Amino acid sequence: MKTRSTLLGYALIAPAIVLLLVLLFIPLLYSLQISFQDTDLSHGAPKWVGLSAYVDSWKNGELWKVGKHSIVWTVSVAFFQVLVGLLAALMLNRKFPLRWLVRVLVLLPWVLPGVIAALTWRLVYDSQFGFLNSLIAKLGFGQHATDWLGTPGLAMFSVVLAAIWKGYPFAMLMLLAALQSVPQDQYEAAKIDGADGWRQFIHITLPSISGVMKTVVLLVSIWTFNYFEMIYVLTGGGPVRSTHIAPTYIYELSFGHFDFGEASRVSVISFLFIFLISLILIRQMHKNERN
Amino acid sequence: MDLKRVGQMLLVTCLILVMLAGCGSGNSGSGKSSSPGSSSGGDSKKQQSLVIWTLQQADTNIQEAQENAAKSFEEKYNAKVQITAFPYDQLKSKLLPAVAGGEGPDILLLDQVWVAQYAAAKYIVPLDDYMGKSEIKAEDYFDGAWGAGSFQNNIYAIPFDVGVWGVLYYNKDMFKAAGLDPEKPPLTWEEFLQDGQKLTKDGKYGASNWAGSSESVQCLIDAFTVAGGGKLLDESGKKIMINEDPGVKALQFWADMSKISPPGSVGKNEEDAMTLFTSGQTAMTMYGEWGQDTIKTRAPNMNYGVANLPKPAGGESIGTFGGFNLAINANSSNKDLAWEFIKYSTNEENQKTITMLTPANKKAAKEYLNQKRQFPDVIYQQLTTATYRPNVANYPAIADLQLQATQKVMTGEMSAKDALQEAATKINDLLNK
Repeated sequence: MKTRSTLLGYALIAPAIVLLLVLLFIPLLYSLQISFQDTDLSHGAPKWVGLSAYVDSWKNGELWKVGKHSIVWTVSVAFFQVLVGLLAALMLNRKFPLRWLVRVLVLLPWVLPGVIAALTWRLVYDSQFGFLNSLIAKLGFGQHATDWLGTPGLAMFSVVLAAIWKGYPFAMLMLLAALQSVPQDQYEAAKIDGADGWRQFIHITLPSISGVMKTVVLLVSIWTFNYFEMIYVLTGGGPVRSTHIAPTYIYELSFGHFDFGEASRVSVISFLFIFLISLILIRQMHKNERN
Repeated sequence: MDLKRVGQMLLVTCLILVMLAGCGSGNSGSGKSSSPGSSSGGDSKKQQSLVIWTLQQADTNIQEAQENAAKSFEEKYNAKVQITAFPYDQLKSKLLPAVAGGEGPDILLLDQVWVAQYAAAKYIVPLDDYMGKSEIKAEDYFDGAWGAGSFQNNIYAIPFDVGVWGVLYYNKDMFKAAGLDPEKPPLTWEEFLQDGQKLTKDGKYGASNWAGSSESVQCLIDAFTVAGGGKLLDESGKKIMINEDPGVKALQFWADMSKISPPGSVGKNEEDAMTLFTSGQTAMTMYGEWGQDTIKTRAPNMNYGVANLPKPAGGESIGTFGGFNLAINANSSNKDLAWEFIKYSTNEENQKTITMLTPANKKAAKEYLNQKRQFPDVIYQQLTTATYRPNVANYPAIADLQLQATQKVMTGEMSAKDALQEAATKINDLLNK
């Protein structure tokens, strides 16, 4: 009886396993296989070159730069998305008139389609007619025509700012939900013991939401690392490649240069990188649950 | 009990099979092109079939003309022609994997800059033998388009249609307002910059340069390099020559345009520059000849003129070709018929109606321009002398290095000479890899 039902169980999950194999593992392994090949078509059909291909891609300095940009991008965008999200959540957790309306409006950036949001930011950053330059002028810092997306030193800052704006409502939404589940009696007890607002935040609020916060950090980091359309639309990786991150670089290599081998190598490396980060964060989360 | 179990297993098996079949048919859907081509090889006495991948047409008249042309080809050769049309980006990303996998269409419509890549990988066949046996002559087509279809002294792809980067568009009313003669557009770089200075006032600008992530800027700088007597590649195709004097001057000219451009032009692209022009913010812009359609829709009342690209002192006015060529898949089983089809679709008669850009056949082009464009003589002249981008297999990577050099110069990070020197070193490494 038991074996029969197990068998049936396996049979029933078989379609799901087949789907996973076909849609996930086979493409993954195929990428790995391509990554060991020289697919630069200038010297004929693809050839197997093995690990030396990886050594070559690191020797060509581009990958270091892209890696550096990816880390700067991921860390700053994820950090500020969570920080701004937390501040917004704390604010929206208080009672004030028309709170429901504000809660809905704050979600707008997140529900906006990505490409449309990015195109809107292009207008904001326009050097001549852009909102940002005219805002700076109206605040009394003088007329100027800063080219936010065309200046190598500024471009990364500009895309990071836009990405923070686009993604922070998600962190806010999750943290707001967590905040609402913090029991009120703890705050009352703390008040009676004479704890001020800051102490309440450090000793009650933060520990209560830390589990959710870690999940949010994990999700936001992975999404940001793979976030493609903002940079693709705003700068395309330029100027002078100062904003190329892994996804835009992979896109350029595969569909711009048709060098699928190199593109696969960068994909494999960035996969390993994300995998590692996820492992660390997931361990942290488990540790948290055990405590 | 046992029967029930068998029944359950059968049910599950069926489910899996249905799913697999679903996947299977999905695959054959996308790869359908190859099957008719290869299967008909066996019974060639019956009807042969041809598969062609081409670009989707926005204009239904062109699409209709293509379908009609295909139909009369079918009748003439007792063959079956299947045309599959893609948007440009999809054609670009689908064609190479399909052909590399030994499948794909019999006839490929290739962007000029893809030809070398496909030829180097031997995905398409040299057409010299076919040429020898037919009435197709290089002289019937624009020189540059023909050159772009060749690779290492063989011809691989016959020009289908062409565009040129670019011609000079100028706003006659703004010329008048600035005290310039609207019938005398600038001829040389110097005049262009001088006129531009006069036009730059009251928040309006002479023109706009750009260096955003698009290749058009490289087309223009390549053109200016050749216009100044320079070359892009040496004979062997293993050495880039953009770092020599004409190339440096060309890039410097492009960067000097910043003086008459609105601030912040580095992040812009050709479309932004065109928008500035059609909205009356700039008085001149450089764009492909098809820009007339854009102006017609966006600024139908604009009083504008079209002139040849400005030329360097002592040089010529030269543009750079873009456009598409037709090639034959090395895996095609109907190569002879494919060749007939290429001849058929590049002859004068058909070219007048079925191309999306200007026809590559010179006689057809002349008629086409007279019918469809203003200033046809200017455009025809620009097409006749136009050069083509380096036909080397890793052109996309090379164009990217060129673009970076341009961006470095326009942001003031490096001088034109140093930036091009740096780019040339890297490009030569790529060419000799």
